[in-house]
Amino acid sequence: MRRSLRTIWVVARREMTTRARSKAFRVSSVVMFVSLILGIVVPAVALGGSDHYEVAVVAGADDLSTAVTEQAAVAGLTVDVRPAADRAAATALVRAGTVDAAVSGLDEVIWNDGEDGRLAPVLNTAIAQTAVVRRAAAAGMDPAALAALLAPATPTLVVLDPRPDRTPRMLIALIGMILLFVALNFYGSFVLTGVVEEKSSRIVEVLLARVPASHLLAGKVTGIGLLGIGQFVSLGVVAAVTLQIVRPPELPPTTLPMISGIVMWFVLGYAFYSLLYGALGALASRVEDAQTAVAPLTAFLLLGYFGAFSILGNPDGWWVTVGSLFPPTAPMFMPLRAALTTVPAWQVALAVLLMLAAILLLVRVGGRLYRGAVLHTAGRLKIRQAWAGATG
Amino acid sequence: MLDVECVTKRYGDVLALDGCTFSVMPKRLVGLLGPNGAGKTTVMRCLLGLVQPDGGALRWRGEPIDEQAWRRFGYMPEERGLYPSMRVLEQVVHFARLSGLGRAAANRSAHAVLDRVGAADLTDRRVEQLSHGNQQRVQLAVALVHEPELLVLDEPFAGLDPLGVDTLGGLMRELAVDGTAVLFSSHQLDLVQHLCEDVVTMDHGRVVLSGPLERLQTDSDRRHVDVVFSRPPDPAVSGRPWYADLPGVRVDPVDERHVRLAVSSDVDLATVLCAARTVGPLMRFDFEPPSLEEMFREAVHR
Repeated sequence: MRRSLRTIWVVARREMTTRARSKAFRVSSVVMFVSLILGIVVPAVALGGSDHYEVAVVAGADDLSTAVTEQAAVAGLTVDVRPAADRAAATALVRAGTVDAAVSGLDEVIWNDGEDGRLAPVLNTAIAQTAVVRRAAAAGMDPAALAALLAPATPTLVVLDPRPDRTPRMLIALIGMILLFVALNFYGSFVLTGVVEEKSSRIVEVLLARVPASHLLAGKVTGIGLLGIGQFVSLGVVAAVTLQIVRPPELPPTTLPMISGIVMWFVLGYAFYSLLYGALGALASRVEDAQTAVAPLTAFLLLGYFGAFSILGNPDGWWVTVGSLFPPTAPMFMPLRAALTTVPAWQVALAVLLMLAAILLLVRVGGRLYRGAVLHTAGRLKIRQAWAGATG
Repeated sequence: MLDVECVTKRYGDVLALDGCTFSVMPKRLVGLLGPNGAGKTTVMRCLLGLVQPDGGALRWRGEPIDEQAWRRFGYMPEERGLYPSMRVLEQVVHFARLSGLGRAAANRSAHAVLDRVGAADLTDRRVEQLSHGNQQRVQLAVALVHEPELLVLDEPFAGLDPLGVDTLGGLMRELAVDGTAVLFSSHQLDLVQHLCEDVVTMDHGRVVLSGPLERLQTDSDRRHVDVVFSRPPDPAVSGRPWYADLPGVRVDPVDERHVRLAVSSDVDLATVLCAARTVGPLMRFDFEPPSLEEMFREAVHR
């Protein structure tokens, strides 16, 4: 047993080190990490907009400057007020883009190419308030009485039937599902080409003279899998950290469990698909035949992928329930469904159990197909022949 | 040490092995010889567990061959195979580790074996950059790195130039002297005849001749006698050729001074010599055992 594990580990280690050094892996890693970070940062910045503005105020209106700063604080914006000598100087600042807007006395607000939706109310309110204060002072009103008069009323928000906003959850699950689909394809094809290359370069006969076929397949799947899981977990960590830093306005509290769920389904999905890729890949003798041999698998993956988009429209449909339990499609369906609706715990447990059972079955069936097919180097084998070949 | 007993294997309608039986002793260089399709590769694959025989027994040191035994075998298949983009040393170390060696031992052994096959200066090269001959060296290093007790080489001389054949043959002989049992196959009987100590010749899945080459040759009921006269023999001495009355002799005149005789084993060579001397002075009188090819042809009646 220990000896078997060690052999599997030697095979796995070679797979990991040679794949990790390959250009395909490095390029794809960079692309995935960059697109993930951009995928989080860009929407957060675009939706959040900027909270920081600069406004020029023409000299001689200190009360107006104070009012602008106060109103900005109420609106949740930061506004730096910068004095300008006269109207012309203020206009020049706006035109140069140094400031977002300029206020010239109580008469004019100067914009470059149109009002800013968040800054304009701040400036207008500040001007209106300053006007009231000045007129009150001219009328001889006591500043304390005026302050009491102007004190804002703050009503409490009451929602009778709150509806949770699932949009951020859906976005996270969708990004996760797309990455999962890409990663399953990517690592599945690593296993596939690995098997076919060993077969077409005839090295498999040298290998099989020392290592049983089942160890060889197990080592290959484990090695490439650890690499893939490592990459996927790193993606998950990067996603979590980026989210912590960027803090998009409405990050749901369940984000971390969701990311863990996606990573778990990747592990299960990878085990399932890579065993199949390995076994079916062994049926082909040449790289050109390999795609044909695994065509049914690719079809299942695509079915799961595009089927998963239909969940967006109707997360409670019966076919969604079936798809999230059916092992080939579960890795894509279940995380998305869980993000959009409440999945009963027993269904999650059942989906995981079915998946584990399918994987165990594949270890046996796939191992036997691999053993039966891998030494046949002439043309493509039928599944039936490979199955029979393993007994003889 | 290695016993193959009555092994059979059928692929569909083809009977690849039909009761194949032979033995390999330690410290012996054994040639498994026969034409293409005789079943040599199949029997080798059976030995290494790559093919499951339909019947018969395979024994190593008296025990049925199992995973434990396979770890002590080294194998170089006819279709060579290495990882093309892996570096030579890395590759040999990897195979050593697959055979159960620890990291340090694998490294030591890989260096030693690359040195032995004359590939010590190739350690950092990628296999795909190597010439055919050098790839063959690395392939052999892979087969030897775990110091196997039985070395199985399928057509090791295929594609080698005469110099390469000599080098590889010398190395195989060295290994045998050091205590390894070496079994190699070839379809070119005459090319390897001088290399083998024991031969096993196969045809149609059966063993035709097997045993020490020398004994097979002495046991053979044929031998060659070359008689060369220093001048053409005088036809006047007798009306018939001098060899016409010799019993158990087949004649193959090469030219008028040179006669090649196939003499059966019960003929005393002295009578041949006497008969020849009556017709003229001799320059050469050679005795030569039959070649492997001839014995094989005779055994399979072709």
